Amino acid sequence: MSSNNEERKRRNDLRGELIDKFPRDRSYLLPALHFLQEKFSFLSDWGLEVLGWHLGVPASEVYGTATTYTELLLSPPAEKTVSVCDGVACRENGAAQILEFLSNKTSFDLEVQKTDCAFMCSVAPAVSVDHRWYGRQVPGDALLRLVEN
Amino acid sequence: MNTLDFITSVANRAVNNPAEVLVQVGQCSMAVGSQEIYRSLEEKLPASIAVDYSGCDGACFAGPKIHSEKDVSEYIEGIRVTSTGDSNVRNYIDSQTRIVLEHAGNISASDIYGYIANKGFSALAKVLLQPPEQTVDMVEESGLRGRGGAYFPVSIKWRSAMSTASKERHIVINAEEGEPGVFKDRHVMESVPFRLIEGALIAAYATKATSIRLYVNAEAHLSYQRMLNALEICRSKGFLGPNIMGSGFTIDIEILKGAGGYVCGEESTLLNTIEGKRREPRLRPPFPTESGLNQQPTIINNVETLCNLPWIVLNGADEFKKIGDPDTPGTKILSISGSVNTPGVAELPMGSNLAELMVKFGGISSINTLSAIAVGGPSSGVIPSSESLNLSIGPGFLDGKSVMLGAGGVIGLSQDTNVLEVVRKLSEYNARESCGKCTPCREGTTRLLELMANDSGDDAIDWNGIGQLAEVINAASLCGLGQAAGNPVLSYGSYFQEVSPG
Amino acid sequence: MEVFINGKEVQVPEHSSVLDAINISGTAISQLCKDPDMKPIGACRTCLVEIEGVRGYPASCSTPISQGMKILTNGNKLDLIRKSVLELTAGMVHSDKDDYKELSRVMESNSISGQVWKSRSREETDASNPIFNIAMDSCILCGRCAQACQTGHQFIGAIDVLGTSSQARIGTFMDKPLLESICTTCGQCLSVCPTGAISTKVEPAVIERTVITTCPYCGVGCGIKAQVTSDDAIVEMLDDPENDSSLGMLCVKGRFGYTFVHHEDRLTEPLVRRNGSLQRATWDEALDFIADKLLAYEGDSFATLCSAKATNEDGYIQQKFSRLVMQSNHIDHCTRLCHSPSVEAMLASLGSGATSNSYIDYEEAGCLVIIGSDANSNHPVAASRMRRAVVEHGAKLIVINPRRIDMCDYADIWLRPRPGTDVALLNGMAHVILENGLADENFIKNRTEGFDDWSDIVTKYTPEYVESITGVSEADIIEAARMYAAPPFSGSCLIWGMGITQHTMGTANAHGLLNLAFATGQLGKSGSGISPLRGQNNVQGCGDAGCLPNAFPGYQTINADSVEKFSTAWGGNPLPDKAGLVVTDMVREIDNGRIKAMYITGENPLLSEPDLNHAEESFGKLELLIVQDIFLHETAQIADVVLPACSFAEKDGTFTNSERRVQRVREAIKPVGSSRPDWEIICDLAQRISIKKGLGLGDHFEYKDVSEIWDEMSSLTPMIAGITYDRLEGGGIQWPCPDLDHPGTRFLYEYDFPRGSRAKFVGFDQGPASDELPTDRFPLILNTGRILYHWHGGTITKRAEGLLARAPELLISISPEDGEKYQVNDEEWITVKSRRGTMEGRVSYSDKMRSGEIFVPFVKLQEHAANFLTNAALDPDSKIPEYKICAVRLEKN
Repeated sequence: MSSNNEERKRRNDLRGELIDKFPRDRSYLLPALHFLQEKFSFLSDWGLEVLGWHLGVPASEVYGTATTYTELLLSPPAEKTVSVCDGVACRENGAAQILEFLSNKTSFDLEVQKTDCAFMCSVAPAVSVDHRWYGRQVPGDALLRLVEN
Repeated sequence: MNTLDFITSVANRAVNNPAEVLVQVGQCSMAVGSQEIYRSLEEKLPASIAVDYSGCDGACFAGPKIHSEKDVSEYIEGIRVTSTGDSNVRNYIDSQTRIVLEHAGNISASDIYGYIANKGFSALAKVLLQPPEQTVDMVEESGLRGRGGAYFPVSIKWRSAMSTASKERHIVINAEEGEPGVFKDRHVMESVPFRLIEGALIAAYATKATSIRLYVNAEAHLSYQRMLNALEICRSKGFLGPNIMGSGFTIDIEILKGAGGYVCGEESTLLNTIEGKRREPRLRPPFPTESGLNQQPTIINNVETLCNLPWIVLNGADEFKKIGDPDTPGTKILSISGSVNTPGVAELPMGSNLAELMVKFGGISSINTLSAIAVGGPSSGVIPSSESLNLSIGPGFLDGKSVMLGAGGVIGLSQDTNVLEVVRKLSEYNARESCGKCTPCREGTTRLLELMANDSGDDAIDWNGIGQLAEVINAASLCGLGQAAGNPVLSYGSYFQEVSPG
Repeated sequence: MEVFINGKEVQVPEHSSVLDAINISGTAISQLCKDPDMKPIGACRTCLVEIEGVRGYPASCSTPISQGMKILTNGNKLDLIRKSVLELTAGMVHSDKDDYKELSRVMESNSISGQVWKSRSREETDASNPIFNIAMDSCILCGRCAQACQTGHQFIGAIDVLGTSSQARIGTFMDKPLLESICTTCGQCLSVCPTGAISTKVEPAVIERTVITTCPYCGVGCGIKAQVTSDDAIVEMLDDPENDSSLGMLCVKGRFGYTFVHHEDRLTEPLVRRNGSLQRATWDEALDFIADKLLAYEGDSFATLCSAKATNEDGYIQQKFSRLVMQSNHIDHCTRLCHSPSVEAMLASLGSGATSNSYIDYEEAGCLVIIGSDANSNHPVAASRMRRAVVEHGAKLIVINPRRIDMCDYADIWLRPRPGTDVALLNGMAHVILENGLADENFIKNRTEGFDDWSDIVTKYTPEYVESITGVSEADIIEAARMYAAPPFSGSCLIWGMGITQHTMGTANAHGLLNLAFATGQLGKSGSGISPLRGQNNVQGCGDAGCLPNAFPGYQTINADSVEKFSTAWGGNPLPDKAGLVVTDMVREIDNGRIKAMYITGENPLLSEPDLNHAEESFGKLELLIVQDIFLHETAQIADVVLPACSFAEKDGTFTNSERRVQRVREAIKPVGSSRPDWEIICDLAQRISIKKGLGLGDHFEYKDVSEIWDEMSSLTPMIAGITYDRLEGGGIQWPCPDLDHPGTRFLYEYDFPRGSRAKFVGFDQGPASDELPTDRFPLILNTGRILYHWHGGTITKRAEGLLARAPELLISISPEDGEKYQVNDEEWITVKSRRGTMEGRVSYSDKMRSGEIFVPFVKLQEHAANFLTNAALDPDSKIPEYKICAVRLEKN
C-alpha cells in the first residue's frame, strides 16, 4: 500500500516538472515526449498518463500519437545496440557482406539490426554501435573490435 | 541605432582573424574520425595556432579533411587526413557552381564574424532597408523554385500566404530531410548555419511573418546542435529576437526536433507534428498557405531554398537567372552515392546532364560502369544508365514517366547489382513508412510487395498486375508520398521488366 | 450555388463539399469513412470523383464546391480505381463473415464479388467489454470510431488510431483491453462503425420499424430511436442526430439500458394483498378494491406520490385525481429529494424554478462552473457538450467538488471545499467579485433588489477567512471568482447538482449561486445562466404538471384565484385550498397517524428515502398503500395493492427535460402483459370512485388519447399554451411558449423575471457544515451519489443486463491513506456502519477521494444500499434530506 503512495508521489513530482517546463497546450506534446524519453530512456505508461493530464490530452491520444513516431521508444532500449545501414548506397558498398560477417561471428551474442538509410551514404557502408555511426566499414577484425568493445 | 550603424559597428568587430586551421567536422566525416582529429589538434597545437571546426565542404569521399595553409600532420599522427588543397578535392569543388555552399567548409561553423566577414548578413541588412514587397518582387523576378522536391515557385507560395487577412503568419523551415540517399540539408546546416538563419529572416521580413519554426530531422543530431548554437549566437549579437540589426524588425526562430518518419517531410504532416498530432498528412484543401499551423497561413520552405535568398539579394535576380535552366534558374545540390568513387554533395546548375554529372562527380570512368541510377529515393525510381544520357536534372518527371529528382539523391547502381532487389527495397520502405491513414497507400504498398515476392522466380512476376496496382496507389492516395509510392515499380516495369535478372 | 453532377444541375448550399452535393443529387457513391454528422477524414478514398479542370481524382468528401463545378462520379478509369481501392479494403476483413453492413452494400453496388486479395492478418478481437466487441478482423481503419469518441461527438478519447502502416489499428491507451480504459461504453463508436467491427455481442434481430422517442433515464432528454422487431421486441436503441438536446449522442444507459423493458420481472397483472400475501387479480377486482377502500380516506388522510419518470400527462391526471376526487393537496414527487432547494431558492429569488439556459449555452460560454455535480456520470451527454466547450472552444472550466471527479481532467481550476462549506465558499467568491470591481453595477442597479443586505453579509467572507472554513486556498478562491466574473469571451454558466442541494444548508447553497449570477449579471444572455441539472427524465415536467403540494400546473400557487380557476375548469367542483404536505413531511405525518392512505406511482421511497430502516417502519403503519409501477420493488412488496403500469416504451405522452424542452414519448411496443399507462389506470379508478360516491366526475376523466390531456393542461397553463402535439412532431419545444406562433425560449430572464422586474439577493451565513459530524466511533464522512452505470436506486438498471455487468457490486471508494489507516485492503468486502444502519460493499482505493471521506453510490445492489446509513436531517427551507453527509465507520467482515 505504501508503494501506492510512492507511486502517487512519483507521478506528482513528474507532473510538477512538466508544469514548469511546458505550457498546457497540445503543441508541446512532441517536445514533452522527447523530454520524457531523455529522462527515462523510453516512454513509460505512467509517464504518458501524467503528460496527458498535464496537457489536457486523453492518454489514448498521447499514446496514439507516440506510436506513429519511429524515434520514440515505448519499451526500454537494449543495453548495447549494433546496427548495419541497409540503405541502397550501403548495399552497393557491401552492407550485405558486413551483415553476414557480423551475424556469423559467434564470439558475442549481440543482435545485429538492419536499419533503413542512415544518411551516411557518402561514407558507405556504415555501422552504428550504441547510436554512433562508423563509415567505410569492411568485414574484418577492426570491425569486430569496434562492435565488441 | 539604425541598421547602417549596426552593420558598420559589427563590420568593425567583424574584421577578425579566423582560425588558421579549420577541421571539417560533418556528420559524414565524424563517422571517419574527423572529431578525433579536431580534439587532438585542440590539445596538441601550440597556442599560437588557432583551430576551429567547419562543416564538410561536400567532398565527403576525401574526408576527414582539414582546411589550412599549414601542414599539421605532425600533430595528428596515425590518422589519415586530406587537405582541402588536395587536387581531387579542389577539382571536385571548383567544377561546381556553388551558391548555397559557397562558404561550406571554408569558414567556421560557429564564428559569426567569420560569416559576416564573408558578406554574411549584408543581404539581410539590404532587405531590412527596403520595402518587403520589393524583396518578394525580386524573388519572383529570380524565378526561384522550392528545392524540397516539388519545385513550386517560391514567390507564388509566399504571395498566397500573404493574400490572407490573418494577423498571424508562420514560416516553417523544413529541415526534415528524410529521403533515403539525401544528406545535403545536413551539410548546409552543419557548415553554414548562419546562412540558413539569414535566409529565413529575409523570407520572414519579406512576407511579414510573425513566427519562424525550424523543424530538424530527429536523426540529424549534428545539424540540430549547430543550428541551436548559431541561433543562440545570433540572439546574443542582435541578429535575432527583438529589433534585429537595429531595424525595428522583431522575430525569433524556434527550433524543433522531429521524431522520425519519412512522411514527416510532407508539408501538412510536418504541421501535424508541430501541433502534437499523429504523424499523418492533412486533407487539402485547405492548403498550408491558407490554413496551416494553428489554422493560420503558413509558408513551408526547404533549407536549400532559403539559403539561396542571400545570394539572390546580393547579386540580383538577373545574375541568378543566368545560372541553370531558363524555366528553373539556379543550382541544385545533389547527394551522390552508391557505386561511385567520389561520393559526396555537389551543387550544380539546374539542367545539368545526369550521365555527365554521374561520371564527373561520381568519379567513375564511364556511365557504363553503372547498370542504373536510383534517382530521387523511394518516391521516384530507377533508370538504366544508358537512359541517363538523355536526362537533365530539373522539376517534374525527368523521363516524363516515373522518375523524379526529388530532393536530389542520385545513387549509382553497379553492373552486378540486382536492380529488382533495389526496387523491392524502395517499395518495402514505402510500405513500412506509410502513415497508415489512407487505404490505397497502407494496403496497396503491402500488396505490391506480395506481388513482387514470387516464389516461382522473378520471371513469373505479373508486371501488368503490379503496374495497375501502382497506378491505383498513385491516383487514389491521400498525400504526395502515397501518390508517388508506386513509382519505383512503375519505373522498373517500364525499363527493366524485359531485362529482369532471372 | 449550383453544380453539375454527371451533367445534372443540382442546387446546394454554400460551403458544401462535393460529397454533400452528390448526396443531395441522390447519386449513389461510396463514402465509408465520412459520417454525416462529423468532419471528413479522407481515409477510405472511395468517394473519389473527377472534376473538370482539376488534376487527378480528388476525394469528394474533402473538396469544397465552387459555382458551376462540373463533377463526374463515374468514368472508366475512375471506376477502375474505386473498384481497386474497394478490393484492397475488402482484403482487410475476413471473408468468413457474410454481412459487413455498409461495406457489404458498397461492394455490391460496385459489383465486387469475392475477394481479390486474401485477407491479411489482423489484431486480436477485444471482447473485454460486456456489451460490445471491437473485432479488428472486420475493421477497415476508416477512423470514424476514434473520431466519435474524440472531438467528433463524445470528447472522451478512450480509443484512437494507433501505430502506422500495416500495424495501424484501433486501440486504447497502451493497447490495454477496452474495459481497462476510460471507455464509458457509450457505444458512440459502435453507432458510426461502417462494417460492424464494433458491434454488440448479440447481433440485433431483423428490424421491422423504428420509433422515435425520448430517453427514460436522466434529465438531459436525449432523443432515441427504438428499433423494433415484428414480434414487438426492442432490440436496439439508436441515437437521434435530429434531436436538439442530444445532437446524436447517447450514453451507456440510453443506448444499452433499454432492456429492462423486456425483463422477466416486469409486473404484468394487478396484485392484491389477500390474507397477508400479494395475489394475482383482474383489473376490475383490483380497481374496485381500491375504490372501495379509498372511500374512507378523502382529504387530509390521503397522500400521493407522483412519478418523475412518468409523462407530463400522467402527472397532470394524478394531481387532478388527488385534488378533485380525493380532495387532497398532499401531492409531491422526488424533486423533494433532489432539487427542491434549487427550486425553492429560484422561486424566491426569480419566481420560477427552472433552468434558465440551454445546453447550447454551455457550448457558447467562456466559463463554466460545475459545482456539486459529477456530470460525467449523471448527465453524460450534457457533460460531453461541456467538454466540447472546453476542448473545442477554449472555455475556462472551474470544478468545485470534494471528490476528484473525472471532469477535473478538463478543469482550469479545481476547488476542493470541505463538505458542507459551500455557503462560505460562494460568499467568498462574491466577496472577491465585489472587492475587485468585477460586479455588474448596471445589472445590480436596474435588475435586482436586496443587494445591500446581502453585501453586508458577504463583506466578512474575506478569502483568508473563507480559506479557514473551506480549506480552499485564498489564491484559488480569488482566481475562480475572477474567472467566473470576467470570462475570456461570451458569458459564464453555473451548473450544479445534488452536491449543492442535498445538505441541511441546501437552499442557502442555491441562493449563494444565484447571488453570484446576479452580482455579475451572468443571466439572461446567451452563453450564461444557471443550470440545476435535473436527475430524472421528467422531473421538470412533473413539477410543471402540478405534482406539488402548493401549486397547480405551471407553478400557479394555490390561492383563491387559482383554486377558482381550476375548479371552474374542472366542472365547478370544490377543490382543497390549503397547500399540502411535502414527501418528507408525509413520512412524519404517517408516524403521527395523520396520513393513513397513500397512492404511489413510479417511486420507490423504501430505497430513495434516507434512513431506510426508519422509513420502512413508517410506511408499514399505513392503513392503505397502493403502488403503481413496472417492477415489484421494495415499496411495492409491502403494498396492499400493486398495479402494473406501462414503461415509457409502451405509451404516448411527453417528457420535459432539464432545458425545459417538451419532447414526445411514443408507443414503441404494445403494453407488456396487461399493464396500462398510468393516466389510464387513474382515470379508470377516478370514474369508479366517482360512481360509487355519485360525484359525477366521470367526464373529467374521459380522454380519447393523451393529446386531449395535453390540450387540457396547456389550456390551463400559460407557459405551455403554445405547445401542441402537432407542433411537437417537428421536434421538442422549450417553454415558455405562450402562443402557437412562439418558437419557444432558449434562455430566460432577458428582460425581467417571473416575480417581477427585479431578482432578489438572498444572503446566508455559513452554518454548521452538517447535522452529523465525524466522531471517534464514526470517524469517516459518507458522501453518496450516483455512478454512470446505475440510475438512482437501480430498480431499473439492475434489470438491464449490460449495465449490471458493467457494475455488479457496490463499491466503497476510499483514499489509499484511509485504506491503510483503517486496515481495509483494496477490493476487500467490508461492512459500513452509521448510527442508523449498516451496509456491505467492496473497498475500492481511489485517488479521487480525500482522506476522511468515503463515497458510496445510493444504488441498491445485492440488498446493500447506502441509504440504510444516511441521515434524515432536513434542510429547513426545502425539507430535503442530508444525503451528502453522515458519519460512518468501516468494519471488516
